[in-house]
Amino acid sequence: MIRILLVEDDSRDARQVGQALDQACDMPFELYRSQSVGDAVNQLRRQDVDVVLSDISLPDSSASETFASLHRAALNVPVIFITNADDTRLALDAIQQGAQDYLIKGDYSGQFLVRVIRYAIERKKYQDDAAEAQANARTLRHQAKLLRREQEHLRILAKAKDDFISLASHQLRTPATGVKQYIGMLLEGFAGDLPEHLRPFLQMAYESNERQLSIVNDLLRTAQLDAGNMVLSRQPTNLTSMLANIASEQHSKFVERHQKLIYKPHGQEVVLDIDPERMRMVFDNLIDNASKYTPEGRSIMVGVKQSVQMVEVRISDQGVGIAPEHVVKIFEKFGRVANSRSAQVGGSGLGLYWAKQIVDLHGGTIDVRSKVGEGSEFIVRLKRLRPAPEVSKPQEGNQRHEHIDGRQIARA
Amino acid sequence: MSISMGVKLRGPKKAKILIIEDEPMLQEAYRHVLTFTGYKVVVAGDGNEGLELLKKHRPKVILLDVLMPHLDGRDFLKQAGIRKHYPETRVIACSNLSDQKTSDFMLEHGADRVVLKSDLSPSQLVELIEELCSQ
Repeated sequence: MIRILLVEDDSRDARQVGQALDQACDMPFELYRSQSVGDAVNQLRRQDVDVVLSDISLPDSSASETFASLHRAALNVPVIFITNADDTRLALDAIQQGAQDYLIKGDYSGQFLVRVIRYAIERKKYQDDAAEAQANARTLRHQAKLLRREQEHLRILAKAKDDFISLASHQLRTPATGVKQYIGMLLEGFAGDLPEHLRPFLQMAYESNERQLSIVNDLLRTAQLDAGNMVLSRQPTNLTSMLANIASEQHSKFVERHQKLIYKPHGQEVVLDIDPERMRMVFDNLIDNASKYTPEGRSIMVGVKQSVQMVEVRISDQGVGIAPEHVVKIFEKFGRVANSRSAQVGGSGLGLYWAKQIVDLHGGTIDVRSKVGEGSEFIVRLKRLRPAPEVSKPQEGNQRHEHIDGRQIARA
Repeated sequence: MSISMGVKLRGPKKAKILIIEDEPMLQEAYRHVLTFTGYKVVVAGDGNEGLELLKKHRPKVILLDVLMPHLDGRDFLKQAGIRKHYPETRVIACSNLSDQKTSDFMLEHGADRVVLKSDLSPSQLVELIEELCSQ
């Protein structure tokens, strides 16, 4: 059903339009009529129509204003003018303003009128769509510009943050490096013989400074992680020997604390596509934590399990444990939990935070199970990206396996 | 980290070490430790001075700071053309900056090692220099 508003003050002309439409009869229509532009504008505000057929000169409107008034009242409705033969120039002007078409009074058949109406409706729809698309494109271009500006702004901020981090870490490390060098000289004999009774004091000062340096390192790492600066450099890495190396490096600490570190590697060598330096920090930190929070004389267990898709490293201790309400906090930044050992342990409260960030970056997970007074177990799961090297160099693999499997790395 | 006790004093070293470091406190620490160990040591306070002393002394090892006024470690390496003009000289770039970009740059432009200053105790520094002298 096509709804037509006819704006025509001359009743005879109006009748002619009605007859022509009846004649065509293949287009169902409803015809409304207004006798002036003012009337038509009111009508258009009240009611939706599909097309306006209008005389060009009406009692309340000059030819040059008619189109503008009708168009303002219904922007999406196509307007066709019906003019006297000597008014065609005016009609052409209206088309320039946006009218769809014009007809000459008395010079059209019903068929022709219907075709003009149908074309006008389709054309108008197309024009409106095109105009909308253009407007959208303009908006998008504008938004893209804003985004680019925003991006540039963020880039500048990120750079400022990076620069600050670099500078701050440099400035914090330099004086501590001085302390390390000079106390190191005394302790390591670069300044002649050290009276033995002074050694423990200097050793304390040296270790305290080392702790400060490691906190600066933690802060810096955290800032780099936050800034999204950390890019993993993945390479095939032998996890089995990485863990064995960490265990033997930390050996003296375990001896000092009268703890036992039991390493149970998976029967087969585990090779993963990981960033060795970063992942080493994770396990170093977890094993060190396990030792720090475990009383003297107890054990820490490091175990590796491998399935088709995952590798699982478990680090369990017999330490103080973490209360359930604190477990959620420990992977947060500065999420240290106060317990009976935290004062002695020190630390920045960032180790587990960046451990989680690094494991996350690898697409793995890190979880903890803990019971107060009994101990904690940290479980790192990493994806295996390649199938297990089942048959490669079986002899070498066996030798290594015999060598490492089940051996106790440290004894009290 | 626990520290190893006592340093093994070996026979006097003939090798010449150039320290390029703007921080007087560290200049003095490195100079003392290396002189004590028997090396001949020359010290520059920035890259420009470093370039002059490099030409004059042709050291076996350069201990090169990165952040310095006037001519920094990066520009020093670019201007010195170590690998081309001083193939015998080994360079340890040492800084308390720990960004990957700087490390990569230094290694690309002639540094044999990049170390974090705060990681090295005096005896570890000596070990590193001994290792490079033997290359």
